[in-house]
Amino acid sequence: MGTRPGEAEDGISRRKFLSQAGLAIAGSAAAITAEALVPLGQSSAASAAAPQGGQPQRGGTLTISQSVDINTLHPWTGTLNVWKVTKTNIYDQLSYQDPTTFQVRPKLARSFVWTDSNTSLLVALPSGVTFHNGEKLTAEDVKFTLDSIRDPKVGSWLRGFLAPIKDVQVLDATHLKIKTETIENQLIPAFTYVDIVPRSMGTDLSKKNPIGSGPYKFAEWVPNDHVTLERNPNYWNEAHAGHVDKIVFRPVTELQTRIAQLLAGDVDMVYDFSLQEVPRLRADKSVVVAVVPPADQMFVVYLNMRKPPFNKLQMRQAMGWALDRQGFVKNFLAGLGRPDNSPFTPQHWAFDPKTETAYAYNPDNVAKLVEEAGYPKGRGLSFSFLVPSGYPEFKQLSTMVQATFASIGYRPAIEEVDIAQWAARLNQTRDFFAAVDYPPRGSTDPALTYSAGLLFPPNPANVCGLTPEMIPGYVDEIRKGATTLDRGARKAAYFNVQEMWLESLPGPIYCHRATAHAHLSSVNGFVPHPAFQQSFADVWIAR
Amino acid sequence: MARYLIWRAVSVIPTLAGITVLVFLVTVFIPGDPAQVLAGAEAPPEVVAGLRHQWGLDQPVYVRYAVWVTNIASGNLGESYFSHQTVLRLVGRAFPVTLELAVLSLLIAILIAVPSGIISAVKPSSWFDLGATAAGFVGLSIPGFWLGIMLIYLFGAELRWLPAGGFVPLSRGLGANLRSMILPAIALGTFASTQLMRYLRAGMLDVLNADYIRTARAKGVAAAAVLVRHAMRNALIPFMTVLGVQMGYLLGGTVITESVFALPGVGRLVLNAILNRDYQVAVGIILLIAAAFVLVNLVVDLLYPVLDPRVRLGQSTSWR
Repeated sequence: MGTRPGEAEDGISRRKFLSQAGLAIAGSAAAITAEALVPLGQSSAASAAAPQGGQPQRGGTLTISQSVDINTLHPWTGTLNVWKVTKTNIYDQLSYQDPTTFQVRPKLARSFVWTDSNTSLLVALPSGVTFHNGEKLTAEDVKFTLDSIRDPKVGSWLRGFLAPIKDVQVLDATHLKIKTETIENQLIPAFTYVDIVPRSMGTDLSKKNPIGSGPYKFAEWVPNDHVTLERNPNYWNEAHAGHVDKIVFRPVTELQTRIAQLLAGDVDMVYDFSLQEVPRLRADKSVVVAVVPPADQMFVVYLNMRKPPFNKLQMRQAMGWALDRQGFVKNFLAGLGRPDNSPFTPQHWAFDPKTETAYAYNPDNVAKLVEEAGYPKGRGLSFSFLVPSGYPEFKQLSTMVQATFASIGYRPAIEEVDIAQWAARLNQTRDFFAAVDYPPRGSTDPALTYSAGLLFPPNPANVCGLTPEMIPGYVDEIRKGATTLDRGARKAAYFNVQEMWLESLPGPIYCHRATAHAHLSSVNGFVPHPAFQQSFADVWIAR
Repeated sequence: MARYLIWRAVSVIPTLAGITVLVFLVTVFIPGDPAQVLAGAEAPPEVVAGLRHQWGLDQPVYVRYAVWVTNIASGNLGESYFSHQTVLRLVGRAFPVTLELAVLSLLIAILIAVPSGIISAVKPSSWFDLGATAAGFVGLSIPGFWLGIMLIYLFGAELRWLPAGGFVPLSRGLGANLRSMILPAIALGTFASTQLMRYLRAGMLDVLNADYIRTARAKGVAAAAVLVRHAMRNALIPFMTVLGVQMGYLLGGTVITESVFALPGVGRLVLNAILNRDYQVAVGIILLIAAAFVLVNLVVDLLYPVLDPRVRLGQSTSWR
């Protein structure tokens, strides 16, 4: 059974995670930049990935079963987790989030240093990096990538991640200066999402085979069948140069087929599957289950504040009290979740302990607040849950909240639609009342957590309809936290943000969920990533 | 015969034209947006709007339809918004998988249905007939996905005799290819056989009670000859119709079987296209499936005169 050093057979144990992450994240905000000076080769991910049962062996094909197929080859527009998993191995990013400590560290960049009175981020690159097409990677390519993503015509969803950038200046082949107005803590974590592309490729990347500088080269994509990557023999970073010759990603929609394929040995790994299957697979000695503890994905319910009933504070607060979080985690997440009211878990330095008891399951409070909102015993109340099919946890959570409201006299409907319709109604027509989702980025820097996505930033794209005026001081506190390196000041600012959120509650946060993966015991060196920026460079197959 | 062929071929044109309108209207009225799917839930509205403009989805419906139909007329079924591969290329890859599955399933279905249907009809109310009828009902009642998963767990995960899903192309060897197709063909063929068996049994019972069969028997024709030359030949006419319809369904892609067994066939292609709102691919494939359906039925109609002398040109008015 191939396990990582000091790791339980079933993956990263919760106790180990708590001790590691607690120590690692307990530093200061400045640590992000200080840690950033640590070369990649010394990262904890590298040590965690080192095999226990011998030296890594080169060769073989790693076959990975995923739930869906990728839907684009464009590095900056594709949003599916399966594409993140694939392209992380094709491209280099300036930084990466350590999968064990969750700290952000340099990857392609050698260092990040704030200069010019903290209005410029100096990025140093290694020399001798080449793209898969043989071109040399220089600061010009990094500038091209950053400028392209910031260009509205390119249509990248990452544009907002890089919004604080005013200009990108190339100093020489291996140095560039990213100009901002002040320190912007969201930038280095945002760079983990930015895939560096050769400028000769242009920006119309969806019709071209991906060319990156990562440890694996793109070989082919046969839609609905497989994506194949081949090892890049010239990868610049020998410490993470990749061991297996080929990685084949196979989209297999049916979960039971995926599991049967693993048990039959037809695939080496099932990447990301339902938490309800974890106990069963843990009991099977032929496979290893790797669990990322609950930290990044948080279950929330978007409440449409543009119309009744959730334009009323009491109704939103009632939703906060309406879910039996413990029951949901125990019954529907196989215990692999954590009830929370904050986007962060206690292991995160920005976690505000006061949020822990802000809302819990209390039908009496729900009844009282619903009455205060003008709907005694639910009379006159009208709302429904919009859930996407294929996401059973969303429906299960909605059903539990539905039952709470039913107990006080009103039973909201649950409307199940396919994912495309769900997304369109949330983001375009705004035709919904309440909708469950599990947005990511609970484990990254809060500057990115609060500036990205559709829940927290109070901008026109906000799903709930949150505007800056709705929560006085909210925007100012977010900016305070995002623009200083003083960890104490950042902590205070983000504590305020969390408490303001809970008072106004545009969208209750219910809990965090773990993610689970399983592989054959012959697979070594696999360290699952909390945000699906999954590298397979350290994975090897024992023969 | 020539008139019959021309009339049947021409009658296909308005059918296909109607299909293009219906298929296209589905893409208009179905909620959802490919731009939103590609850009993701977190994309700002201007990104989604940019993609819609790029793909021409902000054009009026009649303009989009006209462009689409004009392209079809020139043999261009469009390309995927997502993979940017042409519909013909995608179908070209997926169709052989579905065709192989359909042929193997139909073979299995025929191997089960024909002997059991005939024996059941020849010996009605016998133990065999009752058993076959009961088995047929069970076969009809078992959900295809459940049978598929059970087969995968038994023969793939437990016994490890066959692959637990996935497709091996013929280019990697006939043996490996067939091994990857046996379980899905059984899952699909078993279901299809139950319907075929019931149709054949009913058809045979009708024919065996007909006057001309009684006459043949009275004339002393051997039982086997009565069965094969007189009864089966006539019973095969409605059976062929059902077989044609079944083949049409199978060629249209068996979404559930292909999804359960992770086969990259037409059914899965069209399902993913619909879920992603990849309209070009979805309508292109649906149009091709509809065309295939119409053509298979045309072929079956044309086979009638071969099987039934009464339908031959000039001797029947049933098609006029």
